[in-house]
Amino acid sequence: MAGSGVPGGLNEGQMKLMQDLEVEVMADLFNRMTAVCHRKCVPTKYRDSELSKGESVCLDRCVAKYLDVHERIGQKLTNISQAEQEQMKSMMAAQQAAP
Amino acid sequence: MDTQSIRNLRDFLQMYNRISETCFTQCISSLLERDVQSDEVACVQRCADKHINSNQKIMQVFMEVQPQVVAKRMEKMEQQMAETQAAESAEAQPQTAEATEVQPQAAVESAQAEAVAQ
Repeated sequence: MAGSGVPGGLNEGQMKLMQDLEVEVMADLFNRMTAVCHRKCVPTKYRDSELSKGESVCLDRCVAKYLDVHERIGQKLTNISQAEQEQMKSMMAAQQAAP
Repeated sequence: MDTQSIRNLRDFLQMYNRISETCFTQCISSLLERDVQSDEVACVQRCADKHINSNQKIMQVFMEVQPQVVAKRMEKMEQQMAETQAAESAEAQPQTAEATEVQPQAAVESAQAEAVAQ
């Protein structure tokens, strides 16, 4: 994410901001994933403090699936925003060409 | 990259996380496999598209309606300001009339009028 081809490059201050942003977003992702997988895999009847085999396996699959879904949605959003950017570019070029 | 772009980027990434969470919760029904099933993939695609489209629609309507709300608020404020200004100038007028009528004692009388007003 850092160094994502921003025109003109990033100076130190901006690089720090981008890194902070990335950390913040990662932490948010982790928190949401934890909440969702806990809700899906760990029942609230607390009979035992240790994780059962079923719960372990469920959490493993849940995290794997969550990250897979996250990546797919990320690709979709990237494609859409790229398409929008190219649309804007061609619109602006058309405006400039025909004064 | 200025603060506005960074703010936009942060909003975008937060939206991304929110969509991921919602679509995962709604679409991933079974946790019997480590790989995402094909029907779950289709559900996730549709879910993401729907969220993006509804987001765009909401932004569109917001941009239409918000300026109207702001304009109404500005109108009210301007009205109130005009009213208070009119009230102040109405109070000031009788004092100035009294002060200019009698020339020799103008200074004394205007001072008295101001003291009365305060």
